[in-house]
Amino acid sequence: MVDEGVSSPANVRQLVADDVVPFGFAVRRTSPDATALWHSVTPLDDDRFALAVGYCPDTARLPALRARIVSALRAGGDPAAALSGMRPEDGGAACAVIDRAAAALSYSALGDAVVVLAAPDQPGRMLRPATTGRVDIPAGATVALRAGVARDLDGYLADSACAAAHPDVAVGRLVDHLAPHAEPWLVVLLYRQAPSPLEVTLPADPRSLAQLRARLRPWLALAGVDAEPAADVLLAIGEAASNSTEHAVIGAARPVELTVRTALAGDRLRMTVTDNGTWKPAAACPGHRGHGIKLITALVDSSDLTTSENGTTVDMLKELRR
Amino acid sequence: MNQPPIDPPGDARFTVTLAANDQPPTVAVSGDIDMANVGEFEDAMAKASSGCPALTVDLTGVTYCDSSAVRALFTLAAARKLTMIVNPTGHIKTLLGISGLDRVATVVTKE
Repeated sequence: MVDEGVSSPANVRQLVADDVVPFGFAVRRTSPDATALWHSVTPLDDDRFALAVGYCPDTARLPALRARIVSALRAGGDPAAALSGMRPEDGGAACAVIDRAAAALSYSALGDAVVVLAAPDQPGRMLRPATTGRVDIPAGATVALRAGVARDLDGYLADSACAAAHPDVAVGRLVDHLAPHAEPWLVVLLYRQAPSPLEVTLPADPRSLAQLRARLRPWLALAGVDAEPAADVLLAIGEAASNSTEHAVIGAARPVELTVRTALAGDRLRMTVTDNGTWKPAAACPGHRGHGIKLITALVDSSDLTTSENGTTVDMLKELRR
Repeated sequence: MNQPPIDPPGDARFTVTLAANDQPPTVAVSGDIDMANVGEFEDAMAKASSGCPALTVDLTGVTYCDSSAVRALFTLAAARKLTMIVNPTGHIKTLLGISGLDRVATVVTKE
């Protein structure tokens, strides 16, 4: 889990055991009375997730309330129906069903709870959906469900410091942002929709490698890729791109470029590195390529190298499931 | 779209610092090392260990390093006693294990 940029007083936020949520999600709740706050993330199938957060001041009622809402969401997938039995003493709750393949969100909220949406390419613009409804989720957008008191959380979500950061970093910044107001009653559950695929074309030159990483790092954070797999794919792509820069110098009759494409679908990150250089047989290149291919194989879940007279392509796949 | 800020893993500037008076000499490296600047890395290591049978390289500040750096470290380890200081987690430790560099040099994990 990435925890960079998260620095708030330990007494303001308590992590609990079920804070481990699926890839693409992040959650924080504030203390001191974390027992009144609850959340749930339930996979319904490969691409659909049922989410719920709530603030219930009567903690004796909380377990049954939570169980009823979560099981209703599981059974019917209808957020409004799941909240239909709520009474005023149950406090506030927000729930949603996210279909990440269809990029759609159905949601409902009651009491002191809301669902908000912020898109990365519209800084400062935040959509606060009506109480119940269905909306499309733009590529790379952040969905936040929150319950409890939060005066200016929702606007801050659209700040680029949150909208483009890794979800764990973003949710930490949101809660830090509230710390000066000493609002103790808050749970925030974030979801990040897969961003648009990244495509970068650069001259096949070693100096391009740093530029490539400067493009990949923010994209990987936006995509919610955790620190360890992000380091793995940065290196795997770097090795494939390094090979491309070597192809460029082998009697190339044309200017050689390398293109890197990354795309996130569900829990799977697909990466392609192509060049239009001339393939250099492994025997002619001892050392570097041997290490590079060995590294790529160890760092990603599957990889495939194809060569033709028009260039070389390395396809790689990394599983991001937590 | 506004270019988002570069988030983790942070600062990628490459720097090399030689600790004065350490015996064996200790070189602290930070930032990114790739094919484009591995020559600088090699030069700094060679300069620091000139005439010494041993060298310690502190890699805890390295934010990225690839097989070109691994190759340079293998070359160093072939000629002298090489000790590397690494963080307990992170991709450098993974890289040393995958490449087998941890079998020809001493790896010290920084607590």
